[in-house]
Amino acid sequence: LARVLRDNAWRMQAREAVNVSDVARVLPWSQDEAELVTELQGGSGAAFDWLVTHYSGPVYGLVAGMVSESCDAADITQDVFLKAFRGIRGFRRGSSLKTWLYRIAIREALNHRRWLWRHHREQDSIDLDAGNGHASVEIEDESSTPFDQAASHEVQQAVQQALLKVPEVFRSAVILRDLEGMSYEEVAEVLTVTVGTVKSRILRGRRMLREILDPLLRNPHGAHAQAPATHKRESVLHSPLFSATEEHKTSRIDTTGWAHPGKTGDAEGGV
Amino acid sequence: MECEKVKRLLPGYLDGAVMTGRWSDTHVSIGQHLERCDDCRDELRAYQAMSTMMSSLQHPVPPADMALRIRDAFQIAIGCTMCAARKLAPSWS
Repeated sequence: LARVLRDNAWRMQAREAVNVSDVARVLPWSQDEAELVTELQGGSGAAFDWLVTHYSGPVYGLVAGMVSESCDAADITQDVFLKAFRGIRGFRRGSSLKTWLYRIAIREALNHRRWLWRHHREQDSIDLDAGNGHASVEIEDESSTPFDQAASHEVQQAVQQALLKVPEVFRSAVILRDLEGMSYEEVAEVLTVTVGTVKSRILRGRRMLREILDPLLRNPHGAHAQAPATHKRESVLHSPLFSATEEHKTSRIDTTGWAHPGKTGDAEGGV
Repeated sequence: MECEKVKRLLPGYLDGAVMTGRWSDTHVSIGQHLERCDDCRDELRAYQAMSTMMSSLQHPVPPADMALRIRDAFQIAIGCTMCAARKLAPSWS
């Protein structure tokens, strides 16, 4: 009864809130994930609302990186949250909700790809062209010219298409590490493999991506000139090592302190 | 260390994946190799450029009704669960 009353009280506050972010603000779980899990396991609708408000965007982003069609990504994201709702009682204390949701998301995206592949064999009419991109945040950079913006858009499309060409076992690891900014340990938890395996997959995935993007990387207008002023993602490779763009212009590179020591684990597997 | 091995490990050298534990010597070796090998430095620059491209990727924005759709599906799922429970319940009439 207490939970129902509390749920109703939060819903009343949420109803008065203007938009989704306001709704999230009036709910009390942002600091205490354990309490949120308790509420979710107790069947609280308000807690589920909070989960959807906070994680539907990130989960959608992850899934969209794994599948080529944006409508598929939306459907898969919906399935992820339904699976989460049904499986929350099995959630292990001490785990991270985000890691757990991402694990479901990766599994659902892979299942979807397998289903699509089987379905495609049966029905040739399904169009699998990867060109159907996802909507993305378009923040106009007033300092960049229309040419810069168009070129930047081209680079983004090229990278997204290249990612889709990397086998999914490597792609998922690269996306989690390089786009989602997870540590090797977190990626290992999401993919339920060892840290060594994660490193191996990420290295291979990056090598494949680098080969696919080679023509663009060789084109000075496509690579070095394409560092947009507005970065939406903070790449884990965008450490001081990479932010020193001036070094690109020099023939000799000072390698002192290049590697990014943070967020890595002990390499136990082959790379 | 040979170029072939350095190039194979470079993507892990970038973010320190090959700098800890038993790889620490490897990390130093790669650094020393890079100081004297133009070809491998070029390769490293290519990875740097790729990283810049990756960091420029915009996070995909979900459809505006994404959260609403999930909540609707959630409500339907709850309804179905309750319906199923009613069907399973013994009828006393």
